[in-house]
Amino acid sequence: MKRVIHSLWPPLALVAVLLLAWETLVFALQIRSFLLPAPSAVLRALIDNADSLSRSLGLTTLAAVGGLAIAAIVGTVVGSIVASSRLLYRGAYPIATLLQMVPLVAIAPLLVIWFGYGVKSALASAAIVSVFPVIANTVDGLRSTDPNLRELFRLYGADRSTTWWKLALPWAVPNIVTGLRIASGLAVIGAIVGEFVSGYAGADAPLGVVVLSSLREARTDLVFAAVALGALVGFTLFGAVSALGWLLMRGRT
Amino acid sequence: MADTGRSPAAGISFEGVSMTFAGVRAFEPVSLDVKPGAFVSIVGTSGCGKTTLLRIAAGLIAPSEGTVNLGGARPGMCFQDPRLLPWRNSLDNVTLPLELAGISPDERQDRGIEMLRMVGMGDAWNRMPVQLSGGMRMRVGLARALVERPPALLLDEPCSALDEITRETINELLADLWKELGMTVVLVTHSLAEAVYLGRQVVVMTGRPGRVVSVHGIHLPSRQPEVRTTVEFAQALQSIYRDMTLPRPPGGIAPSSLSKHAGAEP
Repeated sequence: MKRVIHSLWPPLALVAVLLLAWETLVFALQIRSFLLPAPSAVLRALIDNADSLSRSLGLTTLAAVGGLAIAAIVGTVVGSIVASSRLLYRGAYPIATLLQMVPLVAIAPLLVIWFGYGVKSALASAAIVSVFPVIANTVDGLRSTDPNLRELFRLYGADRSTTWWKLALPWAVPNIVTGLRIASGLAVIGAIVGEFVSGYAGADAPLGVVVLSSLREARTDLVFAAVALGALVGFTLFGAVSALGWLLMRGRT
Repeated sequence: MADTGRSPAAGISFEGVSMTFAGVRAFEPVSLDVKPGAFVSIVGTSGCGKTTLLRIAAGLIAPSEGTVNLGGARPGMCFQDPRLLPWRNSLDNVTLPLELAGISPDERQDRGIEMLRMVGMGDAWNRMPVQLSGGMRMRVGLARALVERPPALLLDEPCSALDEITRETINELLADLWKELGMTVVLVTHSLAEAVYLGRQVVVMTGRPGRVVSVHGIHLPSRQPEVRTTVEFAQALQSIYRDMTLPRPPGGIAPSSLSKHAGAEP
């Protein structure tokens, strides 16, 4: 606990200083609220719209968490399949490298055709954007098994599937957790972009839609409030994945 | 129930075993007969093929020519780096071979704890590898190699990464385990003192290409640590050292080196 406080206070203090500077600057330069709202105005917008924003938060969280969960399962399975065969790996590796250059969010509008308007498209968008780092890190982890330990398993006559379960997979856990950490941030981005194209306004508008509709009404304070809540989803997911990683790797180091 | 008795020892016979890597002869044909229950040390300069010979005996690699016969038994093996799984505690590392052989969890645990006690690690059964010193890790590695009560134990420079004091305690442990369990032991080492102190026979190899130069029977007045200061010990070291540094005979291998036999002490 002491260590947590020790490492947390400098960034928190810096954030406080920056927020204070922002507030002062807006006030001193008389910047108009629709251009740049002061942090206090964003806070007020959050409190005043707590009810509808919390429903938006719920929808976006559902899309991001669901997308990340699908990415975790699909990514680990696909990564395992790719890593299991040398030929498949050699075939898939250049494709995976090229796929990283593809702006995946650009296909988000297409998702509406497949999944319709609403949370399903946002969830699919989150899953598609976040699955690749999970696949890449799973493959790396599974292929980096210590050859000495592989030899040990060979000495004791372990077959392929036993070696995978009891050696390669536990060995790859740190890599998979790293992939999931990267994916947790991407899942929120994917969810919001998905909502941009597939969400509808109204009482049940997800955060992405809140950003768009508030912008149209020049409610920049609400835009910032929605962005802050989106960041909160990202932080929470990252924290949850890190905690899971800590649990899985307890005692190793 | 865990079996506390001695292991049935297996002999190991190498018949014309040679190894060629990518057209380069790693060592010339080796014929050696290790009697059941023997403790044989193999010494030699780096690159003489002693570790390769051991890995062939373990079935990890196939020789280019010749055969190794262990009577169908699977040997236990311990490496320079004990190769523990970092996500498993000592007990679960030791019982890995039993787990892979499909033995029930209850029996695994009994046999694992018993083996850990034999190597002096009974109290540390739930410690993770990172919490163990180099010597303790080697003890766990030894326990794992012996948990199946193999008829033969192959040791690949088990002490070379340890400090002097730890090395000595591990040597004592090896001597005790051999006496208690009675399995055949083949120890590959580059420490002549270790080879002579532990082995009842010492096989001397030289390099490029590797070959067996001689096999020495070691007869010491005692096997207490103090024996290292006796004349007999020094003489044994001296004769092995001489064989290791012999000038290479012209035309390759000395024919007499090919069929030396290492037998158990009567």
